[in-house]
Amino acid sequence: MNDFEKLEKELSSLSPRPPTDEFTKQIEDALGEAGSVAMCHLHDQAEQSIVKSSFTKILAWTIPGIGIAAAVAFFFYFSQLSSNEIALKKWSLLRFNHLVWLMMIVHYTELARSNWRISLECRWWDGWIPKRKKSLFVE
Amino acid sequence: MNISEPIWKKWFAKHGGKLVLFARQQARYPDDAEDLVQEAFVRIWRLYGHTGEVSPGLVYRAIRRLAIDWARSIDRRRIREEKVILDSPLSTSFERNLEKDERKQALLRAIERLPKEQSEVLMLKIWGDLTFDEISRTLDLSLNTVASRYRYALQKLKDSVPQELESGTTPNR
Repeated sequence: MNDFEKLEKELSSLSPRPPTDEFTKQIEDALGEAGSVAMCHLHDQAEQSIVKSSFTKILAWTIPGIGIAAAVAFFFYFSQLSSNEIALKKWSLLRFNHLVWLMMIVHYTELARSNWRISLECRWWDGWIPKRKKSLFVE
Repeated sequence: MNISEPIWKKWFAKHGGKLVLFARQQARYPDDAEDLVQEAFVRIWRLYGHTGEVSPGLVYRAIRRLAIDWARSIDRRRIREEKVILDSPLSTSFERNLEKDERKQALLRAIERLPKEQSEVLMLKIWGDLTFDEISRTLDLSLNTVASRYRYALQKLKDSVPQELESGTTPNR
């Protein structure tokens, strides 16, 4: 099997000739407008600005989210204080579970919404391709 | 600075050479290879290019199907083109610097001697970077057939390269 692996490596090292410029031009002519539907930006700044703007939006929506979660946590904390000690012991575990669940809901809702916001930034019809598609044109 | 370029150009620069190589194996006449690639690529890109994501397997499959269709319709060109077949060995589809490497030359000669059904599997696996599953779908073959053809091809190459090396160097001595 080692011989085969060696042979495979040797074969892989033989690289097929890239298409000639003439042939590429021929394809370009044949594609016509279909060739310019999907574009990729080569300019670094364009990409950076998109990443930056989506980041600031995420930040702008995450902070109120954290605030709401914190307010809910305080509410439960103070409501516990107002109960008597026995009731507190009896229900604290249950209330703690409620708090965890509530915080999880807030957190995941926020996360899902952030992801949705990011996906909106990656609209191909704006001439920018989502990151997952980049593997296509990385050598 | 150029701010954007069509995705197909990057895609084609990466896969174009391999597609032409595959088309040369599929086409009855070597001169048809580029036409086949152009036709198949343009058709597929028009269908799926807007997504920016086109699987090379789709284009390989389109090339193969077109080659079958064309072979049925271009028999009248046979006499004129037969000479070209003799003048255009497969090695012309690879980088020119190989000419200096005797072993690689021998390897290419050995590949040319492989039966077509083995060399097409070898090509798709080694240079097309397709999985056995993708190859089986591209060539309409079972997975076992593809795997065994690939194994046979490697075995044949392994056996015939030393002979090719010998025969390639003999006339110079």
